[in-house]
Amino acid sequence: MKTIVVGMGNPILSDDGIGIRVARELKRRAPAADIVELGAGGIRLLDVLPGYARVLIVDAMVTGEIACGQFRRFTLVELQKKTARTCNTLCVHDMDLPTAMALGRLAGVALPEEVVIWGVEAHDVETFGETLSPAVEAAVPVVVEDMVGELLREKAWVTSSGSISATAARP
Amino acid sequence: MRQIAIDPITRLEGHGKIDIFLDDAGEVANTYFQVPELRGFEQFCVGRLAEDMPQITNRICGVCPEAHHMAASKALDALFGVEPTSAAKKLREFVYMAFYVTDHTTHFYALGGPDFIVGPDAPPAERNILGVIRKVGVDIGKQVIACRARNHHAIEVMGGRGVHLAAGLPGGWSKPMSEAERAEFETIARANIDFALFTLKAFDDIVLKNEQYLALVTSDVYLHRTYSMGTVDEKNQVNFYDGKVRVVDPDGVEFAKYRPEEYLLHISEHVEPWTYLKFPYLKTIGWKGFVDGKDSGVYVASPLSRLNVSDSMATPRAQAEFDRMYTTFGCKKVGGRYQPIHHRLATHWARLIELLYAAERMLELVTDPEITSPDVRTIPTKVVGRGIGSVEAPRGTLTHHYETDERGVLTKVDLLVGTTNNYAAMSMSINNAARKLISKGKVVDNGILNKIEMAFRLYDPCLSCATHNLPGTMPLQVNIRRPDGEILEHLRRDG
Repeated sequence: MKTIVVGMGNPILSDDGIGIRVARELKRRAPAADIVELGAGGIRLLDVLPGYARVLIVDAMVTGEIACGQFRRFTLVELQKKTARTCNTLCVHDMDLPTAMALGRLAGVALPEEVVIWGVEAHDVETFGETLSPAVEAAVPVVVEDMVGELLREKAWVTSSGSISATAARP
Repeated sequence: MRQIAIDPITRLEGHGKIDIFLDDAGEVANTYFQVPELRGFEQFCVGRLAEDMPQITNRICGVCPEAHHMAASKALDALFGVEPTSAAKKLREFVYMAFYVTDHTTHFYALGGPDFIVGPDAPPAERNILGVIRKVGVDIGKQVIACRARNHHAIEVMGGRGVHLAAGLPGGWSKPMSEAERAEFETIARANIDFALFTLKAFDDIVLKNEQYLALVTSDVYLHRTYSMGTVDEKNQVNFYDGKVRVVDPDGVEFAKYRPEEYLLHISEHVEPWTYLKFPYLKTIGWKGFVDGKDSGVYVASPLSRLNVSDSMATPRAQAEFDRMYTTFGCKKVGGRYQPIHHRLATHWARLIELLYAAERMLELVTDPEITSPDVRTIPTKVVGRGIGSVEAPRGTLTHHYETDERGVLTKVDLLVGTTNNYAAMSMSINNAARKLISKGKVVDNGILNKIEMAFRLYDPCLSCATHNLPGTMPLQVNIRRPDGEILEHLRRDG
């Protein structure tokens, strides 16, 4: 399944950069994977998603419902129902992710059928800085492992040892 | 005192909200558009190398990184005392025009336009780009996506990266344009012109020929007679990339014209205790509060103000549309320039005229023989220690001010972002809308949420540049409360 990973956020705005950190770590683990970074969502996601069957998005969120550094996986439907929200998938200048997906589909753009979003609870998304809060920093390997597990569903990426191949041909 | 609180539920809960306070008679006493603070940007930058600023500042905002990249590159030109080559300036401006086309297109179809195309009283769930498609047809959705894609491609090729440009350097640009790229970009620029003309035609058909919408555009709900600001070239024509900052008074008389590095002589900032963001105003006039008129230092920096300060447009089709807009509003020419338009909803029309100008200017640049010159950089040889650079960001004049030690290590960073210029004007527009729409403690117009949103949507505020947080298409709540806090009426809308 042709998959793209989108790390969202601002790498110089403390915990807002968690999505970027995870994306960069994933890139080290799976150099051949298609991984992009985006500072803002909304219609910009249509610049990167066409042609993929699946998208894995990782972003910060501030819900107050779970502890900092914990994360939730959710789907586009939850964003549509507004039972979940992350910091950057919506762009206040244009639209949210479900609207962008609907726009693309109406316009006949081939967009991923499967959308999985990792929202990582952040502590501070208001202070300029390149470091994450300790709890959020500790979440990086956990989220990466979870996303690796999702990537492993692509059989082409798995070597005989079970690790993700750095050189596997793209599906 | 009864309070109506409009709380945009933003990513930063509890921040960035509009409070409307009523007096004992139930009339609007005051409104407060509060903006939170992002902490520590200057501290983040101080101690770093100045040449990193084009990469750092284009991370401030995910929507207008190109504007920060350009202002930062220009500030570095000054800081290192180096004049970019002519080809480098043209390459920067070319990339900037591609950005303008995408930004203005996105705003019109996704944010500002739905109020008119779908209708200001349409249910919020329909008042978005999907509603635009339902009204105008699916082809428009395809065109918007195609417009973004082709210009995004041009920016990525010439900027080194698609989202956060990497090509701006003190003294020039790191990527020359090949002939093959130029030929492709010429096709893109021509498509952009066709698209801009199509968009203006749609605006004409749907808005200007609709008496109800035209009445809204020209109504006094969104009328403010303030000073206007914008950058002009040597012919006093609109220029987004370079020139002098010109300010005209509410009657259209030139009040000031200065080089961007002189901005501190002309602009001061007013502080209010209820918000972190400061309110810039014209220094020689002074801060007189949130009031209109020639005696108030409040000014606006927007697509409309840029046209207000300009004698004309530098490209022919945009000039024709410019003439049409000012004559539609009955503006007469005084001293060779149209009187300013103060009806703020005309900003949407002005934005489309700018879209056409950006597309035409892109074609001019890409058909300029010098654009493929390999001479794209002048190497700096010294550190001046102070550099100020300015461009017209889509949302207003953007100024970057850096100071360094003799090694080029930053000691001071100050940014005056496009939207900040308009903070006072935006607050006044919200206040004006609230006063017109609330009377005797009652919301007399249930479209108040949208009417107030329209007041700040027309500025397309990018407070994220300063705050990374703003109310836009977010859910809104209005609570009308008794003095004891009990809710009399509750309105809610999900964005």
